[in-house]
Amino acid sequence: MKTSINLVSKRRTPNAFHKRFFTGAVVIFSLAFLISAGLIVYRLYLAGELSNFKEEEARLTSVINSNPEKKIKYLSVRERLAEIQKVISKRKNINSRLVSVSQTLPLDVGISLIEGDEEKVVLQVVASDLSSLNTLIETKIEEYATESQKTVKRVEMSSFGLDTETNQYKANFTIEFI
Amino acid sequence: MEKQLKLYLRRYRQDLLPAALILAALMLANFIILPQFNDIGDLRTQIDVQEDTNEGLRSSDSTLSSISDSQLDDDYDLVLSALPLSKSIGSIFEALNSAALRSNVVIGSLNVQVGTVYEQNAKGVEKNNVDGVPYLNILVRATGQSAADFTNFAQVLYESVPVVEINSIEASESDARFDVNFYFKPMNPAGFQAQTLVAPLNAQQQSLLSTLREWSL
Repeated sequence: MKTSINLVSKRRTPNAFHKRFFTGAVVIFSLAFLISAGLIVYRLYLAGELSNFKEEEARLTSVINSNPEKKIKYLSVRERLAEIQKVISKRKNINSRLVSVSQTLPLDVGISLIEGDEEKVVLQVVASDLSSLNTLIETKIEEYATESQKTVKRVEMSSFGLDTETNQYKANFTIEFI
Repeated sequence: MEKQLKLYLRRYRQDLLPAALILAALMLANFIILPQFNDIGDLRTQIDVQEDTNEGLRSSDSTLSSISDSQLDDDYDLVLSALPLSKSIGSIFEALNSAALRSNVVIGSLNVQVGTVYEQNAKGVEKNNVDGVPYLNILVRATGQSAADFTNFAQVLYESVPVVEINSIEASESDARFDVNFYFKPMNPAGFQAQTLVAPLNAQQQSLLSTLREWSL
């Protein structure tokens, strides 16, 4: 009887660890391959999209520049409107003050002198009836100051008298604005 | 040595293929995946910028197509009458006379401060300007029937073209003095030639255009 028989095969049989290692490696490689392929395809798609956009840009630019006179006119209109808007928003509206002041006066009170600038309005009024001037002083001026949204700083009556030639009462007011 | 190497290869040959696969995966990640991410990021940024550019160009194209040549000519003439290219004395006189006729006032005298006509090495910047918009200052003397006529004259002038600003008004019953600024602005079309984008007029500008149209009647 032969006693030195080696029953263990010289060939190494794969065990569970080697199987898992092999499967894991295949999975990792497959994933890396698929991700690489996917990214390359996506990049090519984006490059194509960019190229299409550039073609569209060239086409649109050529269309827009095909009528340079129209473009310049339109841009000039836009630019001028912006400048006009700037001027209008900053310009002083003295006249609206003068109009609103003169509209405050009772009907039988006339204006013999009106002066206005950014800071003040000077007004000389005439009336044949003293009660009209009294109404102006007592109520109308206060109403005006209240209605003008607190832009009136001070109203001063600088003079008051009777013109004996015309037999009319005259009063001078200075309305100062904030 | 060779014998020993063969022995190792024989011993670990089952592990060689998985190791090679992992190495290949690492190389894919290093040489393809990571650079692709960078490239894709750059491309997306370029596409976003390009999309914005094209959107602006599409809007410009549609803006220019939406307005007829005749309408644009009218608008252009209107804005030039509201803000002339130069100290247009003719259009100023016309505006003053038109306002005087509509408010029962007679223009007496005009005092125009025209300013520098020529100056060597002048930079072309007007001293009198509001936010870069130059103006011509004129003192207007007028006669009328009442102070109301003068405030009416000022109101008509205020709501007419060219655009004016009234600095001060001194009015008695029969005569008045107005300190008026008439605005103008030279144009630089060379600046527009390079510009490709044409933004449409916003609501405020459309409204201003309508107002100017009313004022020019």
